[in-house]
Amino acid sequence: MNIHSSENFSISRAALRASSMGSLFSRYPRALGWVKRLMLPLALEKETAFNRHFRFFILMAGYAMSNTEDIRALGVLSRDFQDYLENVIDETSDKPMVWSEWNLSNEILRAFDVRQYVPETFAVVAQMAGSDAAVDIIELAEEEGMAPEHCSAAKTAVGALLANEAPKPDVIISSSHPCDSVTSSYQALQYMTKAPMFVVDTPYWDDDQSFKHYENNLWDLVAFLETNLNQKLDWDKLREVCENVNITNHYLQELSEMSRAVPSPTSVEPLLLHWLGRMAAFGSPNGMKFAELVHNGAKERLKKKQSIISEEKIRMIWYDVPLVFAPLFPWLEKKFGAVVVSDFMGRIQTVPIDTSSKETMIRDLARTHLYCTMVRHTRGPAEFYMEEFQKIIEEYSGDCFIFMGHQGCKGGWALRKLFRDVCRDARLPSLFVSSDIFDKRHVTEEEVKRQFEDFFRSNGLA
Amino acid sequence: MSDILSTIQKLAEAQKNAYITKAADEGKRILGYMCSFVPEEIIHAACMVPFRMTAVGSTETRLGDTYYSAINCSLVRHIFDKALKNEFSFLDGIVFMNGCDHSRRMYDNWRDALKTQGLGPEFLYMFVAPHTTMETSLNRFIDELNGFSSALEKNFGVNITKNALKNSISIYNRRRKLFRELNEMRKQPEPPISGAEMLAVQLAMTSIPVENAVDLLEQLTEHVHDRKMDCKDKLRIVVTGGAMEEIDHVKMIEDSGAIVVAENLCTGGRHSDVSSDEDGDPVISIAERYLYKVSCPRMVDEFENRSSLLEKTLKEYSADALITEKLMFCDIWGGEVFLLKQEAKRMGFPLLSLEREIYGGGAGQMKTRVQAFFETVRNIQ
Repeated sequence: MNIHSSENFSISRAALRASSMGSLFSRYPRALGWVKRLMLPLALEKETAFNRHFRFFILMAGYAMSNTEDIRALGVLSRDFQDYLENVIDETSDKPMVWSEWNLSNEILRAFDVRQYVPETFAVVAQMAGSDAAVDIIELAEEEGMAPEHCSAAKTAVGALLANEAPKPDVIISSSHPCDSVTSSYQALQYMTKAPMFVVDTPYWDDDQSFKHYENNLWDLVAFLETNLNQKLDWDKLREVCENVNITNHYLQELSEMSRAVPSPTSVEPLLLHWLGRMAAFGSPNGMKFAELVHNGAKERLKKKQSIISEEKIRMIWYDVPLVFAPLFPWLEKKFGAVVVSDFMGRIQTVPIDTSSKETMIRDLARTHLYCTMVRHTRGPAEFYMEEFQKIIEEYSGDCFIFMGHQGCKGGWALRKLFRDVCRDARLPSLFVSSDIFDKRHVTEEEVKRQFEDFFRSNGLA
Repeated sequence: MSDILSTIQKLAEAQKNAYITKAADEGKRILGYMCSFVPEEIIHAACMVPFRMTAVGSTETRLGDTYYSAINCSLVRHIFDKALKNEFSFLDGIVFMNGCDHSRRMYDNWRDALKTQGLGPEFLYMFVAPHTTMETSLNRFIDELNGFSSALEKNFGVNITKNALKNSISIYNRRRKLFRELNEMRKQPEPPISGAEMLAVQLAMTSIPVENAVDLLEQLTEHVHDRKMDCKDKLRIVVTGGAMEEIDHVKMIEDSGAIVVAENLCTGGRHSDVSSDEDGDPVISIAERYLYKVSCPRMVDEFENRSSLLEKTLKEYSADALITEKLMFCDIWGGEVFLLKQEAKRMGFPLLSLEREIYGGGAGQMKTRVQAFFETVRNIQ
C-alpha cells in the first residue's frame, strides 16, 4: 500500500489557519462581522483561485448568521475546531491518538487523556483548502482500489491516510452505523494502520432490548479503551462532559423547535455547524457556549417575530444537506429569500443524560448516541425517517421538500418512493437531486443551482 | 449431462419447483429469505420450508425501480420487481435480514407494497444479526434467535421444541456433510464437478426442502464419485464474492480455460458445508455457527479470519488464481475487494476483480478481461 513515508498535514494546516482566524476574530465579533460582510460578495457566486481558501469557511456560516451574537458563536466554535486540528497535527504529543468514527459520539473519549481524530472530518477539513483538495484525496483512495461508489466521506478517510494527512492511530473505535460504506471503510483503515479496533454493534430497533444491547457495547468499549490506552476512565470528567451535553442539547433542541415559527428566527445552519463541532469535541464548554449564543440570538428574533434573513419567502425542508454545497445557503437566502427550516442532519431530538451514577450515564449515553443525527434514522426501519418527516411537515409550515440524495447513501435512496409518497399526500412540492456530500465531481454547484431555480419557478415559489 | 445433474440444473434455473409445490400441497408453509445468516434450522423446526429467493427468470427491474434508485443493487431490484409481479405469491412469509443497506430496505418497501398494493404475504419479519463477534453480540444473537422462534410460533400456531431444533440441525448437517464431501473431491487434480455445475447444485439445494436436498446430494455424490473433468491446461480458480446466481457467468470463466475448484459466495460456497454443533443447547449451537463459523464482510471484526480462511482454501484447492465477484453498488464487497487486493499483493497471488449487474449482460467484455487475466497468470507460472 502506497502510504507516504513522512507526515505533512498540509491540508489540515490550511484548515487550521482558517479556524485560527475565526477564533481570533471571535474576540472582536464586530470586526469579524465586517470581514464576513466584505468577503461574502467575493465568495458568493463561485469558487475562484482568489477565494478558494476562505470561501467554504465564509459561506458555511451562511448569509443568515450575521448578527453580533451569531458571529461570536461562530468564533467560539472555531476554537474547538482549532484545538482539534492542533491536536491532530501535533506530532510531539505523547498522548495516545484515538481515531473515532464520525457518527460515534465521543463523550467517553473526552474522559480519557487522549488526542482524537475523526477520519471523515477530513472531508470537511479538505473543503477549507478548496473543493479540489477533497477531490484529490478521494481520487487517491480510488486509485488505491477503493470502490468509486463508496461514500465520499469513507473514501476521504482512506485517502487522507494515504496522503499523510492523518495522524498515526494507537486505537480505532467505530460502529456498525450509519451505512455499509463507513463500516466497510473501517475494516480498511484498521487493515492499513494495524491499530487495535473496537466496533460498537448498533441495534436495528428502538426497543429496550436494543438500547440495552448498545449500552452493553458501551461498557465493552470502556473496557477496551482502558485496556488499550492503559488508562482509567475519569468518571468525574465524563459527568462534566455529560452535563455540558445536556445543556447543549437543551439549547439546540429548542433551537430546532424555534424554526416552526413563521417567519423562522433561525435556520439549520447553526445546527449543522454544531454537528461539525460535535465531532471535534462534544460536551465541550465552547460547544455549549455556541449553543447558548445561537439559541439566545434566535430567541430574541422570535420575540420580535423577526426572520433570520431580511425577508423570508420560501421555507424549505431538506433531507440530507450536502456539506460540499454549503455555499448554496447564502445563494438561496439572498436570491430567493429561502430558509431551510428543518432537515435530518442538524435537527436535535434526544433525551437528557442522568449523571447520578456511572450506570445511568452509560445507559443514557447509549440512548443519546442512538438518537444522534443520521444514527437515529439510518440504522432502522423506514419509520425512523418517515414518522419524523411527517411530524416536520405538520409542524414546520414548509413550502417544499428537497431530497438532495448523497450518492453514497444507498439506504436513503432505497426509500425515495416512500419520501415521494409522503410529499404527495401532504401536497408538498418535492425536488429530488442526485448529489454527493463531499465530492463535487458528481454534480456541479452550477447544475444544482439551475435545478433549484427551475424547481422554484415551476412550483410558483419564485 | 447426467440425469441427476440435469435435474439439479433445472431446479437452479426454475423460479418455483415441483418439490416446493408438493411441500405446499402437503400443508407445509414456505418461508422466503435472501441472506445466508437467516437460520434455516429454526424455520425447518417450525415445520416450514426455507426457500432462498433469487432473481432467476427476471428480465427487467421496471417495477422494482419504482421503489429503488439506479444506485441500488441490481439483485435486490430484480427480486423486488418479481415480487411486485406476484412471482413470490407461493410464499407464506418472508424473513428479511439486516445484511446490507439495499436488501434490508426491502423490508420497508415490501411493507409499503403490502399496505398500498396488497402485495402478500402478510408475515414480513426483520431478522437482525449483529455485525460483531463479541460475547455481547453472541448473547444478543441468541435472544434474536429465540425472538424469531417465538414470532413463528405466534404467527403460524406452531411449537418449536428443543428436540425439533436438534432434529433440524441434524438434517441440515447431513446436507452440509454431503457438500463437504463434494468439496473434498474438488481438491483432486481432476475434480469430478465443474464450478458452474456446483453453483447450480448450491442454488438448487436452497430452493427445495432439505430432505429432498439430502436425497439429491446423495445421488449426486454417488454419480460423480468416479467422474473426472478434463483439466488439461486449465487453471484452477477460486471465486469469491457476494450473491451470484448466473451459472452462465461461471461457465464463461471456465470456458476461458479454467475450472472453478472452490467458491466463497453468499449463494453457497461460503456456508453450505459448515455444520452446527449437535451437542449442547441447539439455539446456542445455531448462534455460534452463524456468528462464528460463517463470516461475510458484513461482519466488521473478522477480516483477518476471512483472509486466513481464503489463504487456506487457495492452498488446499491448489488454486492458480483468485477472481473476486462484486455486484455494482455493493459497498460491503467494495470494501472487501479493496482488502483482498492488498492481501493478494502481500501473498503475490494473481487476482482479477470483476464487477457486474446481475443478469446485466456485457458477457463479451467480461470474457475478454478473463482471457487476458488467464494469459497473464499462465505467463507468470
